[in-house]
Order: sequence, then C-alpha cells, then structure tokens
Amino acid sequence: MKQELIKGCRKNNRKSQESLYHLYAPKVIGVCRRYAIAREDADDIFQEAFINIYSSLKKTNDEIQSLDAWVRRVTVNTAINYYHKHKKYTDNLSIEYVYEESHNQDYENILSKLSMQELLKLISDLPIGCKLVFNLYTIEGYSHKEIAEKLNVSEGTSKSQLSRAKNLMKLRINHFNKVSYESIARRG
Amino acid sequence: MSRSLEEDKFGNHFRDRFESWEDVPPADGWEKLNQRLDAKDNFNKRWYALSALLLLLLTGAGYYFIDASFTDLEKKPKIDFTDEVAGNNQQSNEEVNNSESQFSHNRTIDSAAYLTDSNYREINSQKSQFVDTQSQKSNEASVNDRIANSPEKAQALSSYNQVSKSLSFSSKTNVSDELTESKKVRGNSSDDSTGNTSSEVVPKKEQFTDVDEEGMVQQATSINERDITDRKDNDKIIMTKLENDDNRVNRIYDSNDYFKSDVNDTSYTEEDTIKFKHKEVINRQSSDLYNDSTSETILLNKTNSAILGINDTSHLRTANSEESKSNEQQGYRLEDKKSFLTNDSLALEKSITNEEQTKEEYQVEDKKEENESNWSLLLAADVNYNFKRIMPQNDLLYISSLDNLNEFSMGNVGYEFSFSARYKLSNRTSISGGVSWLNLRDNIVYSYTPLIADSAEVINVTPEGFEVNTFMNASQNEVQNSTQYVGINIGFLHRLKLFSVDRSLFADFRLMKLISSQTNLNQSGHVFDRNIIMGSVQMGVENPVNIHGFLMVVSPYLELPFTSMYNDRAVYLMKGSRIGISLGIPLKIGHKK
Repeated sequence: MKQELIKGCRKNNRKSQESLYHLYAPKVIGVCRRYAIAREDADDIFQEAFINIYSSLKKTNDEIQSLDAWVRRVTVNTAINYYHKHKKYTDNLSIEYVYEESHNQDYENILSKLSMQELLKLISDLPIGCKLVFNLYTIEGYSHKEIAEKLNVSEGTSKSQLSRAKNLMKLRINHFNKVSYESIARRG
Repeated sequence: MSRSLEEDKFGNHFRDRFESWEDVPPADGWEKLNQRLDAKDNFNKRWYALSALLLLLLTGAGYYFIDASFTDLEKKPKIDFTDEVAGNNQQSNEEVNNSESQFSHNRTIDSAAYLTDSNYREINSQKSQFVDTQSQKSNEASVNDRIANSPEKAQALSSYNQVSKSLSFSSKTNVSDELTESKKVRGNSSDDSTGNTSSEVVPKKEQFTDVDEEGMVQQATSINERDITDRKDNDKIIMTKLENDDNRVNRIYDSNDYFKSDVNDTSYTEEDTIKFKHKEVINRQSSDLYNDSTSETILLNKTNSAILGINDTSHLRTANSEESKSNEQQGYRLEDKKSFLTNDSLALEKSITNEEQTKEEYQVEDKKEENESNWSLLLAADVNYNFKRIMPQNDLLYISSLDNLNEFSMGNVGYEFSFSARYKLSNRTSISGGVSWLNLRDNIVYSYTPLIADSAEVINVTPEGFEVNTFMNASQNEVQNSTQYVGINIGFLHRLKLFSVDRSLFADFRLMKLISSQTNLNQSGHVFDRNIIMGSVQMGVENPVNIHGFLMVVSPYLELPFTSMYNDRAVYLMKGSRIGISLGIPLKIGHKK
C-alpha cells in the first residue's frame, strides 16, 4: 500500500499525493506544531514539508524502509530550514525569560496531569533555540553532536540550550502549579 | 545522579506523549497544497515550453540563415563522379564510336565538378552541345574512306581499335583507376586550332599504347605544331578559368575571415570540402600521369600519324575551320567547347603552369591580406532576460515569500546597445574592447511582514518575567525596477568550426557603472538602493549570418554578475544571471599602410 503510494508520488500522480497527504497530515502537523512559534507558522511548515516530501520522493529512487520515519525526518528538516530562513525574525522575537533555578518537585506527576495542549504550550513558549534543541534531543532522539551539525552551533551550545529549555519549562510548570494551587485555595 | 535520572524522566515524559502525537491538519490543507503543486507544475511546464520554444526558434533561425546561404548551391545538380564518368562514357561510346575523347571528356567533367555553380551550369550546357556536335559529325565518311584506302592506316586503325577498347574499358571505371590504367594505355582528346569538337577529330585523337607497332614509328610525325599551339592557347584559357574558379573556391574555403569571404562563403559545405580534396588527389595523380606520359609521346604521335597522315590532319584542320565558322554563326562559344576536348597531357602541362600562376595569385592575395587591417568594429543591440537569485536581507521587514521569483515576466526583459573594436591576434583569435549602455529590468512580487509589530500584548506578568505577543499584518509588494548602466568590456574571441560553420566563442569581462534607476513600488518604504559598480562576465557564441546579402552576427550569451545589483540597504540582494541574444553588424576598418 505504502510502496504503491511512493511509486505514485514519484510519478507525480496527484491521487497518490493526496492519499499520502491524508495518511500523514495529522502526524506531520503534530511535528510542525512542536517546532513552530505560532499556528500560522505551523501551517507554513506543514505545507512546505509536504512539498519537500513530494519532491524528495521524486528525486530519490532509494527504497524507503519506513515511510513513517522518513516523513517525520523530512518534516523535522523542513522545520529546521524554516528556522534558518527566518533566523533574524525569530531571534528578534525571542523573549528573554528571567528565570531562576527551579524547585525540586515531582515533575513527572505534574506533567502526567497536563493535557497535550498544555504540554504543547510549554514547548511552544520556549525561545526558538531552546525549542529546537529540546525537540530534537528529547523527542526526535538526536545526539548533541547531530544537533550541533544541523543547527550549525557547537555541542556546548546545544547542551546549554537543552538545559535552559528544561529549566524554563519547569519554571512554567511551577507557575502553573502555583496558579492552580492559588485558585484552589481561593475557592476553598 | 538522582538529578540526571530526574532529567531523563522529564524528557521521557515528553517523548512518550509527543512521539506519535497527531493533530488536526488545517481544513483547507490539501486544497492549498494542491494549488501549490499545480503552480509548481505549471511553472515547470512553462519553463520547459519556453525553453523548447527558444531552442526551436534558435534552431529554426540558424537553419533559415544557413539554408538561405545554401540555396544556390542546392539548386546545383549533385555530381556523382562514378555515374557521371560511366554515363558519359556510355554515351560517348555510342555516339563517338570508341573515341578516346571519353577520357578527356570525363576528366573535364570531373574538373567541372569543382566549379562554382554558374560555371558548372555553363560548362554542363557546353558539354551537351559538344556531345550533340560529336553525334552529328560521327557519320562523316571522309576519314573512314581514307583509312580504308590505306593498308597502313588500316593496320594502324586495328591497333587503334585495340587501344580504344582498352580505353573504353578503363574509362568506365572510376577516375583513379583510369589514371592508374593510363600509365599503360593512354588516350588524349584533341581538337584543331579552331576548336572544333567534331568526330572528324576522333580518329585524329592521339593514341598510344604499349602494343608494339615499330613499323609505325617511322611513319610517325610530330603533331602539327600549330595545332599544339592552338590547343595550348585553348587549354590555357580553359584551365586558367578552371583554376581561377577553383582557386577562388579554395581561397574562400581556406579563409578564416568573414570579411575576406563573399556573401556565398558560408555556402561551402563538407560536400565541397570532399570535392576539393578529391580534386587534390586527382591533380596529384595527374602530375604523375603527366611525367609518365612523356616517354610515350612518340607512340602517341606515330599512331595518330599512321591513321591520318600529315596531309590528312591539315585537311581536317581546314574542314574544322569551316565547321568553326558555322558554329560561330550558331552562337556557340567555341573556346568553351574546346575545353571538353582538351588534350590531357597538354591540359596537365598547363595545370602546372597554372599552378605557378596560382602561386603568384596567392602571393598577390596574401599581400592584399597583409595589407588588410587587423581591426574591425562591431555595432550590436541585444535583448536580455534577467533570472533572479534573491537574498532577503533587510532587518526592517521579514519577507515571508517571493511570490513570482523566476516566473516569466516581460518586466524582466532588458536591452543593451554596444560598440566594440576588435583586433585580430591570429587567424582565429581576436581581442575586443568596447563600451555599452545597458538597461536591466527586474520584476518581483513578495509577501512580507514588518518586524516592527503593528501592536503588542504583554501577558503572563510574573515576578520572574513576562511574555509579549506581537501582531503584524502580512502584505504583498510588487516592484518593477529599471536600472541603467554604462560600462566597458574587454574580452577575446576564438573561432572554431561548430556544426560545419565557423563560429566564434567569446568571453567578455564587463564593468558597469550605474547612471540612473527607477523603482515602482506598491508599498512605500521599501528601499532598493543600487550598487554603483557592477562586474560581470559574459560568454557566448557568435554566429555569422547572411541576411539578404548583408553579413551580421547573432550571438546568444550568458552573463554572470560578480556582485549584487542592490546594496545592503535594499530589501534584498540580487545576483542571478542573464541570458540574451545580440544582433551585431561587423564593420571592417582601415588598411595597413
């Protein structure tokens, strides 16, 4: 089934492209949402990702073992390129958080209570550099060396960005926790 | 350690939750994607179609110009050497009755093959006249009667027939075979002083063979000196004519200068080259033949004398003289008729003489060429198309997309006028330098978002910090820029034979200075400052074309700039490349003193 889709896409068959789109669109948009600053950016990356998927399929005749993983990889690369293209923009817009060392808490327990949208908000609110490193390292499973090559930064920068990302997220989690505690107390 | 473990758990939680997370794609996601794919396909198709059209136009134009030059040549009937030789031999055998004139006749036809078309037609016509004349006269009985009344002559006729048979056989083979064979058996056509081409001359034609006819040696006398002198004169006229024509052709073929060749120069093709080479081979073989034949002249003479006798030749001369007058009344060009009866040995002797004359002519030509100036001028006008490579770089706005980046637009078509001088370093290499005025145009549509937000919202103010949401409106801008430059260019040309035609590859370095510019914007505030100086390199192929007898050069080219057209203050930097086609008029100037 998937191999036929691949063949169809390589022949620039619009029906195959549409089938591939409907098969992978939810997953692709999921990846895009994690990397994008806003929903509009996610939609842009989403469109760009599918264009790249189709053109990459046409360019290569290599056998694709796992189409899921391949599509995901192309999408991630598209998101990174998007970051590179809009570097100035994103750098200028990055918000400098004033953060302090997070308190030791049972974050696993707290995270498990958060909805997917809340978790996504945690990631989305990260500065772009932190967000990219966090996504690539934590979710995609890239090493710091690979991230350094992809983002054209040093390994040290990648590590520090990851650390910074986690601290920022914990800070936000603390804030969520505090707000929710205060609201409960107020109601009580 | 516990902290590291905690960090891993923190990360793993996100990984587990997000690794296969799916979200709802945009509702109109596929429609938008479909439109983009269509646009991309259309863009590709447009470019393929445009490229194909351009290629077709260039090919068509090339063929048109080349064909126009070749029209006259194509009208000329093609000459198949073997068929021509065999066919004419057969005809001669039937009409001229074993005449050895076939041999010289064929040789003459071969020579005609190297002539230019006008001469060819003329000679072809004369050839027909000659054959007709031979046919009319072939039944003349006086010679045969005389031969029949003389036992010696009958004996000579017998040997003559043997020779003729040999000649007939050999002349049906190709020319080179003939020439080889002729070392043993040789036939020469002859005509008398009046240039008559009748069959009366046929028996008189000089025959020689290695058949032993010692008895005839004593009877052999030299051919009437006057005849020889006349024939030499006639031969000289014809061979000079042939050589001159050939020389002209060869000079044109050898010429590497457009200016040296006339309008029809480009009409000489590989076919002609083969003919020229063929001719060289024949001339070489003819020279050998000439040298070998000298020792056999006695046999030639004795056979001829045995058949006709001295008095008979004078009788024939008188008869021919009368026939000549008759032909003149009919408007025949007797001098030209003679050419088809040209005695081979004499013709070849003359060819050597003419070679010397040709050498002299070449020397004169060379002197003329030496006197020609190495300088020439070229006036050219061209149209160019600007392919853009754009790098958005302005900090004040964020270009989100280049909406028509190399889509075809007449807004990208510019033009140029140039004037350059050339100096010929060698036959094939020239250097050039000149000035030009260039108008570059580019049309671009882009979407952008200003980096200075239209509005901002501060949210989540906490003791630790705050967040800011910014709001910006995306807009679209269409820009039509025109920029004028004056500049200098220096480069070189090298002539090569590409696709059977002399063409010049050229490369120019260009330095352009901005003189004026215009920018039409939909949105104000976007800056398109130009760089004052722009450098580029231009490469192309210069093709000489003949447009209604007027020599011009058409040069498609590619130009690659070194620097951006716009500077750092502009919305974007633009390099890209340009393709264009130039139409130029070469002008020859000056003479060496």
